[in-house]
Amino acid sequence: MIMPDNWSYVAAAYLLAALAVGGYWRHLGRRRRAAAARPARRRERAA
Amino acid sequence: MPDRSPRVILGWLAGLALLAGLGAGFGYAPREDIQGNVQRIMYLHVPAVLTAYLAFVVTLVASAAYLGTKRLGWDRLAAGAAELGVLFMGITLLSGSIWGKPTWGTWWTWDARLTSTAVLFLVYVGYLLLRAAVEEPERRARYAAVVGILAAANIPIVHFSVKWWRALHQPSTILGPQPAPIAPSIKLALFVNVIAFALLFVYLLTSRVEVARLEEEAAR
Repeated sequence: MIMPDNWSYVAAAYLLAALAVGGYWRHLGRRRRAAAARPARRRERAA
Repeated sequence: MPDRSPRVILGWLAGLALLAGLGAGFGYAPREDIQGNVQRIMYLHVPAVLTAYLAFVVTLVASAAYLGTKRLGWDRLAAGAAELGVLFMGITLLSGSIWGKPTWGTWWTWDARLTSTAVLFLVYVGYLLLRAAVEEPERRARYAAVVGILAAANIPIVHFSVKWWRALHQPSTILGPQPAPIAPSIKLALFVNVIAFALLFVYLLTSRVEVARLEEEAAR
C-alpha cells in the first residue's frame, strides 16, 4: 500500500453527488406538482 | 393504485442500477494497489463525466433539430439535457477536486483538462442563463439552439486536452484509442456504474421534459 485509505474523501464525494442529484429530483417533483395544480385551480375558479 | 407509467418504472430501474453500481464499486471491485480506497471515487467521477458528455451531445442534436423543424419539443429536450449536463459536470468537477486533494495534494490546479472542463461547465451555465433571460419562447429557442450547437465544440477540446497539452490529469482510459489498461473487475464495476448513470440521465431527462411541457400547458 502506498497511500492511506482516505475514506472521508470517498464519503464526501458520494454524499455531495447524492445531495446534488436528490436535490434536483426534489426540485423537479415540486415543479411537476405546481404545474399540475395550476389548470385544476383555473378550472375551479371558472366553475 | 401505484403509478406504473414508463417514467416511474424507469426511475425504479435507475435506482436499482445505482444500488448495483454501489455494490460493484464498493463490494465487487478490489481495493486499488497504489491509491487505496480513494480510487473508488472513479466509479462516480468517470460515469458523471460520460453522462455530462452524453447530455451535451443530446443538446447539440436537439438544438440542430429545432433549427431544422422549429418544433418546441426539440427545444424542451435541448434545455433539459443542458440542465442535466450542468448537473453531471458539476458532480464531475466536485468529485475530481475531492479526488485530487489526497492524490495530487491539491483541490484544484490550472491543468489543461481541469481548466477546459471548467470552461465547458461555465459555457453551459451561460446557455441556461441565456434561456432565463429571454422570455419570448420562439426567440429563446432560436438563440439557445445556436449556443447549444456552438458550445458542443468544447467537448472534443476537453476530451483531447490531455493529449494536446502536458497535463497533470491522466490520459483517457475508457475513451482512449488503446484498450483500457485496467483490471477486468474494475472495468466491470465501472461499466455497471456507467449504465446506472445513463439510466438515471434518461429518467431525469424524461421527467424534466414532461415538467416543461406541463408548465407550458399551464401557462396557456
